[in-house]
Amino acid sequence: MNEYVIRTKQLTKTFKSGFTLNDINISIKKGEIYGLIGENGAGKSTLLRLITGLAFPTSGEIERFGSTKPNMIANAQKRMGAIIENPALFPHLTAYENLEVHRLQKGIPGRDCIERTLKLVGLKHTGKKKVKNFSLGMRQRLGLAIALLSDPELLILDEPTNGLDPSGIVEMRELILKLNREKGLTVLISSHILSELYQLATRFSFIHKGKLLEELSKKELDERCRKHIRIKVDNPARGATVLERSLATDDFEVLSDGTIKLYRYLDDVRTVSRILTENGLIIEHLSLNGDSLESYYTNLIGGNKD
Amino acid sequence: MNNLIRAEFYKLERNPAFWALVFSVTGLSTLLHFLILTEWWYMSGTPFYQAGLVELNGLSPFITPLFFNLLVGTLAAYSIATEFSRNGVIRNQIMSGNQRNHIFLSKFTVFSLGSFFIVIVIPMVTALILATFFGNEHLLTVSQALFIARSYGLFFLHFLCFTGMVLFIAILSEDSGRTILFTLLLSVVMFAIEKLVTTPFIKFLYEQTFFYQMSNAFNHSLSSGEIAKSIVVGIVSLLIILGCGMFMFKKKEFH
Amino acid sequence: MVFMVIILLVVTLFVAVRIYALKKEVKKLTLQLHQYNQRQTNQKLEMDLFDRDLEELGMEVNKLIDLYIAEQQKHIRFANEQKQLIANMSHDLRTPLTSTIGYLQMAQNEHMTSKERVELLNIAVRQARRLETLLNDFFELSLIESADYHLSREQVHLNSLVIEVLIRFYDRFQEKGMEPTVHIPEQAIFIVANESAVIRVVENLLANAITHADGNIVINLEERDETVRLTVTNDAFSLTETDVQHMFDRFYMADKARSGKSTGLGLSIVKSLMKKMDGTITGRLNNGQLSIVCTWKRFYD
Repeated sequence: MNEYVIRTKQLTKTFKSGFTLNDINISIKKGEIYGLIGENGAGKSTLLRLITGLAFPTSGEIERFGSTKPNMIANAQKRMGAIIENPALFPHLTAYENLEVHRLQKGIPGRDCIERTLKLVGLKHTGKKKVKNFSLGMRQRLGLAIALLSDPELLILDEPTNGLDPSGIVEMRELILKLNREKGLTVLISSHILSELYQLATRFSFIHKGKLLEELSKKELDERCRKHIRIKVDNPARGATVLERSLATDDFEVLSDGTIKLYRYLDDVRTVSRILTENGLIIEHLSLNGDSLESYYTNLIGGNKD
Repeated sequence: MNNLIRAEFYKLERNPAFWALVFSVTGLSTLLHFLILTEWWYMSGTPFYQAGLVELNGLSPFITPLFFNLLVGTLAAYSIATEFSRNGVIRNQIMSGNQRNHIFLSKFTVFSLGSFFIVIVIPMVTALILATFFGNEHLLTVSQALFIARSYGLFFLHFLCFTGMVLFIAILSEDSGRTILFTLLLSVVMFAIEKLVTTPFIKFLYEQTFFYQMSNAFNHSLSSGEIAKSIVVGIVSLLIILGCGMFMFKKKEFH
Repeated sequence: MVFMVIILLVVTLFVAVRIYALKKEVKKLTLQLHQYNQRQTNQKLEMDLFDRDLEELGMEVNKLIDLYIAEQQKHIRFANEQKQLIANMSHDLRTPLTSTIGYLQMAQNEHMTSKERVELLNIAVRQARRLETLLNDFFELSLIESADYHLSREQVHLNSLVIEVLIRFYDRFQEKGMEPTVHIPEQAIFIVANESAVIRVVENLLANAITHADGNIVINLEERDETVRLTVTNDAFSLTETDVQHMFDRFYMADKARSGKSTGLGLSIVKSLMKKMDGTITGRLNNGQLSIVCTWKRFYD
């Protein structure tokens, strides 16, 4: 089976208002939780609408479940579940009836799925209460239930924590992680807060003013978000010993290619370099890397201000 | 398609606006027929009068575009346009993995049947029930029954064109208030053309529309050629309206 | 007669349409299952919902798919965990191993006094010992986490147990010049747990606090309704929220310190033991104070 659930190639969408989603290339692998981060109005929702087939690209291509054919959009949509912007519900129906409408539309056999999904999102107790009397948090949960009703392979959530209280946010996160773990659900989730997705996503994309700034894995993000000195010397074993003895620190790691990541002496790179050289080591590479999570994000966006 | 139609019915059955219309039309129609049958109110010049069906005079408002479009427009506003408006439930339907053509056609089917029920079935049934209770025994002769069947048959065809048009407006306007307004406007314009415009060319054009055919359907003395023309106009208009509707629906982007 | 024929025709037509629809639906379902079996899709069956019996069939097939997915996912998860484990292990064994080799290389150097050489070899031995500890901890952890590892439950007198462990740690507190603040109620507190596991938990928590605390340590024992909470709090100004979240992960070390007895497995062992005892453990960061809270069920006579 195809390894990628979604792939976009030079995806571009121009609006009459002048806003453009420009040349977006992202790929979402099966089983990933893909975080889409950008300020409000950066183009996240537009991208999600293109992926779900609600809107059409001006140019470029979207591959859904390994197929780019336009007549396969409906087929791909059957395999997705999504909440775009606010959850869309019928206000004069109950939670159960809302789900029944979607069950009929999607042709899911058996009403079992309704009870099960309501229980999953914690709305089992709502009974005859109409959706118009629901709180924002309950609506958000029902939106999630609609998206999950057909047991989709890809779940798309646009700012799902809007209107949820802190405990609701934690519950939703736990639920997403559980589904990802137990069913191998692939998730595409957007937010304007990096720290909110940090604990959830396995891959990150940063969008700013319609452009994709960066796409990186959690590991790469961690790498960039922990300050360290990257050292490459001709003899890593000697290098490690020198660090321990002459700099009196053991706060470092040796990677498989012999690169040493030193977490101390961050403001004194010169000393590190001098001591390594004095001990007869040849320095091939020496650089200061990393940032805090917040400043990484701010710098990324700030560096791309017009 | 079957699933979509079932889903649409499910929604319609639970739509408060639909039931409000059903109840008010039942009440109104009963009252109207009652007044006419007890000869409290006398109408002349209606198509039913000309066909010798005085007892069914109460049906005449329900075949007048200016009146029934209020009902159809309201139903469209509260069952279709609301789906497109701010809460955007239509998004879920688009993402449900059904062909957009099928979604459009199922909406059209259920909406037309709902309108048919309100505008044609309810007045007809109340009329027949009341006529049995209060009217003469010898209600319908064979030729009168044939007239009713023919007229309503043609009327239904053009009525489908009308509901198609209203659906089109509802999808385009994405707002319940505007939907009612625009359908009313459409009827008023058509009414004005019928009554006020004397330019032969525009008159000729108007006579080729389903609007004209809708009132023409109840003309007592229609030749078979005119009936054939009416059917052709109805089918062609329906195809064009549904074709345009589907095309627009397919190209539409949702927010 | 004509009437009968018409009725018969209508009935025949109805049955024919229905049979056609059913056949069409069965074909559609077969195609979907075929694609599923060819691994072209993971989508569950969807169908035209017009026949109740057919719908039941579809539902049951979907249940089968659910079972299959659950099994498959378990398998994938297990394989991923193993892969991750081995990657972590090789990663975390490498750093001490590299520096050990470094010391040994230096000791090989001929221009070296024997005194210097002995010193280098001593360091190398210390490093090797650390590797040994790491391997032992790792072995212990995989043992605890294995499914067939069971802890017997008994009544444990928590007050005296905590005090005993504290006394054993006296020297290490002294070494770092720490004076732990201890709040233990006078009345006896009993919990349902495994005694040796609880000892290991308390030991690891104290060792962790001693290694990482910048300032002082507070140990607090309290009863709350049905549960008993043991809280170990220490200053940890350099910790971030992220560190606290990953604190219980295997090999996670906030400061990447490779010194002393720290292996990055201590808290993982604690967490696994607590889980096996049906207790809970959480970490919280509050104004630079790290609190690790263990909760057990209270013992009732």
